[in-house]
Amino acid sequence: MSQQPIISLNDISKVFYTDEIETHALSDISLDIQANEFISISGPSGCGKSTLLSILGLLDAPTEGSYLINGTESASLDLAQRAILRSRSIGFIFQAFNLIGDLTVYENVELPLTYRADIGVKSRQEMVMNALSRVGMDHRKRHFPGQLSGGQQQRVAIARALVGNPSLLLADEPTGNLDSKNGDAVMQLLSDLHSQGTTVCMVTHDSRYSDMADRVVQLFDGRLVDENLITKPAQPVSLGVRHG
Amino acid sequence: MDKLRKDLLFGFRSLVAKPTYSLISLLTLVIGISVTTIMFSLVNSILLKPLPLPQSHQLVEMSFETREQKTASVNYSVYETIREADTPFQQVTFGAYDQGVIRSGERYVPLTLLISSYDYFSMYQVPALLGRWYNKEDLGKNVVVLSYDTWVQYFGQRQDIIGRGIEMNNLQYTVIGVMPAGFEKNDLFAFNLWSPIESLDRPGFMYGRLKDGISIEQALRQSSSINQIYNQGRNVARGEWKTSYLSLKERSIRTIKPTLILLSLAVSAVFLIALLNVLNLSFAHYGNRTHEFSVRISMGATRKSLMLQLLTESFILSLAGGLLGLLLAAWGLELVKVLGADQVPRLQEVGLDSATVIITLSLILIAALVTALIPAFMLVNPKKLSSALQDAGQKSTGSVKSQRIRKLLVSAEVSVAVVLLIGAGLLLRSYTKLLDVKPGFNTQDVVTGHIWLPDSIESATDKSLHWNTILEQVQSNPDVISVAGTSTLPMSRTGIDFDVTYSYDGAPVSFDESQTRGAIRAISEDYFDVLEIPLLEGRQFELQDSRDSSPVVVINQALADTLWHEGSPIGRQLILPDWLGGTHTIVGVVGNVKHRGLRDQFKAEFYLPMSQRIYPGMSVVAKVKPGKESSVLNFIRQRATELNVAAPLINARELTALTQASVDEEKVILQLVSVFSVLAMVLASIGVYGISDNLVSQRTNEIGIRMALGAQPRIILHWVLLKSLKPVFYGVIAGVLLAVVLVQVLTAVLFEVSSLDPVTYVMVPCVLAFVGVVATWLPASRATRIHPQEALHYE
Repeated sequence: MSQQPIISLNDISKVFYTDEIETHALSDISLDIQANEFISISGPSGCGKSTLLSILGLLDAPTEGSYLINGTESASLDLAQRAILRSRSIGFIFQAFNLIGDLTVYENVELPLTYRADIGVKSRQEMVMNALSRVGMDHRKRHFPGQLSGGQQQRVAIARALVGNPSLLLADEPTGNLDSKNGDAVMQLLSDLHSQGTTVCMVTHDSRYSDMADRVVQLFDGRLVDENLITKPAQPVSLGVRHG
Repeated sequence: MDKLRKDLLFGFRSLVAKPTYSLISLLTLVIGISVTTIMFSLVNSILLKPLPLPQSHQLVEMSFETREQKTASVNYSVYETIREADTPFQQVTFGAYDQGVIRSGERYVPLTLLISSYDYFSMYQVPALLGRWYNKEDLGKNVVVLSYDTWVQYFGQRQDIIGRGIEMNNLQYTVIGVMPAGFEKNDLFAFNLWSPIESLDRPGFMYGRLKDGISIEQALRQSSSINQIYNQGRNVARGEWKTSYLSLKERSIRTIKPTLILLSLAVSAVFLIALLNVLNLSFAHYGNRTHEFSVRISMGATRKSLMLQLLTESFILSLAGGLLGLLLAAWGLELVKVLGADQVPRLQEVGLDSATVIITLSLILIAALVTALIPAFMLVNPKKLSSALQDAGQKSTGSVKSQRIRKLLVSAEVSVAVVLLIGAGLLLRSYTKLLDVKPGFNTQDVVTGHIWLPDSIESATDKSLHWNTILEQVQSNPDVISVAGTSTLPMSRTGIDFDVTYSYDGAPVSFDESQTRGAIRAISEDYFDVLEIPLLEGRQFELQDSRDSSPVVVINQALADTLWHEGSPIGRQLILPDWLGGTHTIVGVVGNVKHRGLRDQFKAEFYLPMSQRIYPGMSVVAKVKPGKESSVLNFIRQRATELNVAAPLINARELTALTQASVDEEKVILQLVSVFSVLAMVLASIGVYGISDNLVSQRTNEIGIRMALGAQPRIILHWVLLKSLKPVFYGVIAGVLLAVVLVQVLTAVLFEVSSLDPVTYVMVPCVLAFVGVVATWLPASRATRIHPQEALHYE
């Protein structure tokens, strides 16, 4: 008997209405993501990759279709329940880092934990320091985002995404604003996190990085057009981690 | 020129493109500038400008004082002697209040009459509108000068009035002049009629015009002859009387001056808040345009040219606000003139004169400079703007420095509003305490009016007969429960009210008579019953207390407690001045009464029976059946005129209204300060709303991030509320601390309320906090509806 998928999309469509014009961002998407899987979503600009990621992250809702997360139908969740689910089960990594400028590195990483009532102050400190240490940024905890390089900012963003031990890590073009060295380092981090048991769903149009996933799904004009299972080499390719 | 035209054009377009900012800023400026203009106009016209009379600085009121007493009362003979003596005055005049009952058709109308020396008008040098003033040749003749209003109201503005005869006080008078419109509006000349006299058997007052080049201080030093004349014929054993001069302008404004100063402070605070508010809005407006500025810089604009552009925009806004404010002020001043006509002196002189317009233009300039240059200095920096251009497209949470300044401005606005609100709160508490004061007598279902007997009723017997007749006739009305007469009606400015010194049997040898003074009231038998003033001991006056019986007196509790706190005063002797009958036997003690207003402290009072002390003026007080107040007043009015047309009922009203009127000044101050406080609160709440709204706009992206990280809507709501209310909190703290110092100016007007009243100091911050929450709720709830996905891509 196969394991229940962590994510299950069935015939998902998303339509945007602007000035009486319908834009079909997604059409009939059906996709399962298993726990501990590293999936990459690829496709040209405007194909609906980010929309799909937003739906997966419960930031947006599909116009049609069913989306089950950990077996729960997302349509049945109200705004508060979605927020709770996001804070406990989902971690986000954005292309533009989206760190909050007037919070320190430590405070940025701590932020998702502050929305959880089940974690005490002491545990929170430990989790934040652990997350920062995992991305090699614990020595910069008192810095503000503006004082960091792009690569360092993205590592802080990754620490923030994984601090709550989410079952699903969603990354939207995590290397899009980075040079190749920093991009490689970030990808190595994601790969390490995956190897440690985290489910990763990444949007990218960089084939070098999409190939690091277990599976690549291709989107075109809002439709799922291809799904490739990547056969990985016996030893993962080491991209190295740069400490800035 | 072309540059200016372009700046003006762009300024208009920029303001039209941001209608919310423009409209709120405009309204704020209109409110701030209009109230400040109104207040300046009032202060300038009433307090600063000289009286509208030639060489008005030379005009003074003359009074006389010893160490303990001060009086402006002068006998006509003293005036005549002073007039002929060598004094620092080029002219002195004498006047006395009187009543002129004129016949207008079938009606007899009681009007205020000033009987004066022949030189009264020549001293003021205001020409008559029609006819002439009276002069020495008119002495001994029945001539009269009419005020403009009297001429219009009762003589139909007849151009042929000069030389015509009118009936006044049952005598024929010839009209020789009509004074110009507005002359009587100044309370110094607030009479309907003027008539010359050459002698008077009661005291009056003296005004004088100083010789050229002589100041009041110099005049005081040169007044030995006046002092000598005044002291002749007076008992100077207790110290010599010395002259004291008060300029007529100061005399005219002395009651309104503290009120106007207080209101000026309140209005200044409103203008300050308005200015801070617009400055705050400008910071937000210009802060949102840094990208535009950076593009202009990249196109070669200099800092100076950008600042000039912002100044142009700000000037357009301030000019529009100022001109609209000026229009509103013009309308507001007309309203003030109508509402304050009977209470504020010199109000007819108030208007939008050149000084007021200059002040308004200055306010416009201040508003334009402050609201443009301060944000421009902070935001228009070519170095920072060039980096802003490079960063354009990246997410931003706004300039931290600019945000801090805006929060500081909101805190400042709130703190000033708190000071005003605490002031208003203290005044409100004081006013309610005043209304709670028990005056010591019943005011319900009591009507009253005053009657002055004409000089033709001279003898005490005739006066007594007149009073007894009117009281009997009023009592005959079935709607009247009881009626009485008094020389001194509580809460009324009409009547006889003066203090005299007294002594008593058993007083210690070292007793200083000059230190003990009490007020005299003459009353009829049923007075205490009608006003329900409690009889604490002894008896009231009775018919047996006649002119021929031994003098008796009823004293109040305050005097009894002072002199005989152990043992009863009944049967003891109270020694009044000889002209008041000397030794009186105390027959009763009654409760204390607040005679001169609810603020009045209880003081020693003596009640004498009207049969033993008769005055030419009396207030009728009648307890009536509920709902019969008007009909009874009409009845008394009718009977008084029937009895003697020259002695009609004046100032007829209900005693409740009269008592309420005694706190009218407090009420007006409270109302105006409350209006200014509410304005301040509204303006401050606009500032709080602005900072909250801007916070949500600036941090939309951050809100999206927080939502993506799991923040629930209520957490976002709390976060925005907390962020926005922080400056409110600091403002409230600062305001409370400022208020502790600044509201000390109210100490003199507060009644039984400390300037540190804890109730007010707790309530006001609560109100402000509530207003703050209301002002931030809308943007905060908007934040909870932000779509996280859209917010993450928000620029």
